[in-house]
Amino acid sequence: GQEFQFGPCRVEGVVLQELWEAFQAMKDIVQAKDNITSVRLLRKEVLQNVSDTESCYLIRALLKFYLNTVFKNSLDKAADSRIRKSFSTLANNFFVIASKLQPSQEKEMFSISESARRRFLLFQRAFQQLDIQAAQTKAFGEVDILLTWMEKFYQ
Amino acid sequence: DGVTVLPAPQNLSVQSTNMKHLLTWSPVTVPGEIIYYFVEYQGEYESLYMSHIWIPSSWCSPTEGPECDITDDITATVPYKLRVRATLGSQTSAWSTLQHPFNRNSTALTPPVMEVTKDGFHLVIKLEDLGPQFEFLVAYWRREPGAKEHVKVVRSRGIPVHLETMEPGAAYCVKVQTFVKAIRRHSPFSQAECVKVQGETLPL
Amino acid sequence: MRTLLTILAAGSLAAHIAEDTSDLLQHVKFQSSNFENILTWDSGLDSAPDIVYSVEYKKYGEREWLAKEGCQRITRKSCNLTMETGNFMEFYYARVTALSAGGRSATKMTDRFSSLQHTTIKPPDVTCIPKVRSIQMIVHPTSTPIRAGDGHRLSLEDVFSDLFYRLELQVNHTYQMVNICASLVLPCLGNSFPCRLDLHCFK
Repeated sequence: GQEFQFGPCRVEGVVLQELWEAFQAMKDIVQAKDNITSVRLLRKEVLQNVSDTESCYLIRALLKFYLNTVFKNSLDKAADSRIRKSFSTLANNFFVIASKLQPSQEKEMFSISESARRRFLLFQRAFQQLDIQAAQTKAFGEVDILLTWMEKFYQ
Repeated sequence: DGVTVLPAPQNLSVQSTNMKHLLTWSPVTVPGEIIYYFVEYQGEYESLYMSHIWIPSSWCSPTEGPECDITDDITATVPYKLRVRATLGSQTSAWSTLQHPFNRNSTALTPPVMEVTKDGFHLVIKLEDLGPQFEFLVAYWRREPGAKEHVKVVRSRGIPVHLETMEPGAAYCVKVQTFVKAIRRHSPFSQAECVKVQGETLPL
Repeated sequence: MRTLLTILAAGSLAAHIAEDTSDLLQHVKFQSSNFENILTWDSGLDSAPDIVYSVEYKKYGEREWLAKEGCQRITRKSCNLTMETGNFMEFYYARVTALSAGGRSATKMTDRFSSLQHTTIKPPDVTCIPKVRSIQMIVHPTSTPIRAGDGHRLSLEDVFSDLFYRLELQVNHTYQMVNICASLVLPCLGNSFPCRLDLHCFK
């Protein structure tokens, strides 16, 4: 069966196709609310040329941010039932992935984890430069960028 | 909330087979009246991060019968809380919550139904359509001592699949099991079914 | 006096803003198949001989809109942006400005576009070679307009690592072949059957 392999971190029991279907169901609605077309949170500098080993640290930081900050306040405002259902699918599957990621905390991995942290901070700073509502809408609308990147580690 | 007069539904339980999940409960009865039920769910994320949020079920908000197909609502392999309440006009009952959260990894997987046929010298199998979650592991072999077992993974559903071109006069057997990626579990194998090709030689 | 002028100016501005120009321009969107990305739009009017259209595009996340050469002040309602949106890992926006002879104008933007998510896949080209007691089918890789770093054109297989072909063979009944490679030899046991083939390409 298929699974995620973020370097040493392996995650089973998540069907990527289910996440895509959930996001596609609400993508047009969510992305249409983001009219700041000149800002992209998950830019190349955040996701490009990430080594396998680094990917576990980075995906964990990104998913925890989405769970704690992006999703947490979005569902309250999601009146449309299609969005609430899709949202629940994404949030619960991100929760499964995040809870199974156990990146190594050993000293020799410090430089790699630091590199992942710098990438994450690029994303977080861009997020914090926007009004919180606009930032959450934009981050929510960029889940397809995240899924496209995660797909490289799905085998 | 409306004035709570109606009794809350009791005996909530989930029957789950081959990733089809059915929530049932004992009906609330008021003679001469139709009772409607509302079903809501909460995944592990909602219950941990935003416990005040419950999501209406796709097909049962409202529903008349004392059951609800929650298959489309259970879309992650995490524990889900489920609750039901009854309504009659403006009267609503209290919520009744499933005693133990339901996780789809507890679903019962049964051996799949298959139809093995031969079309001339072609060994063909047709598998029941169990939905997109399922893959089929098809094992087939020539019935003779020491025969090697071949395996094919079949993902397409509901359309006959060509397995092998058979030798005249030989018998071939097939058995199948399902695999569900989302919960990483197999069903037991089905009973083997065998077919035999008549002894004609190949027509030129 | 100045106050009067201000009111008049504001009034005309308000009138200008309030003017509904949706009849000039509608349904601005990308149509994409096999990564050929065409921007299309409609005019709301039944006939619009005097309207000209200008196209701009940009990557999501960038500020500057770029004018698409060859699609400035055109009268047709489509524009090929395949080259400009050729990075299938990127996300793009395009917008169209319609200008009528009377000076009325309207600008509309597409949804966020990703060819990787939006393109539809056409059925592949297949060569069918009937033989005495078998039939050989050669599935030709489908090339796309996308160029790799070294300039060669990528095929669908290069883009979609999990691309598979579903081949349905119709002899007496329709059934499906599972292990499909680029070339497939099928024993057809003497009866010459029509080389009829439905080949669907799926991602």
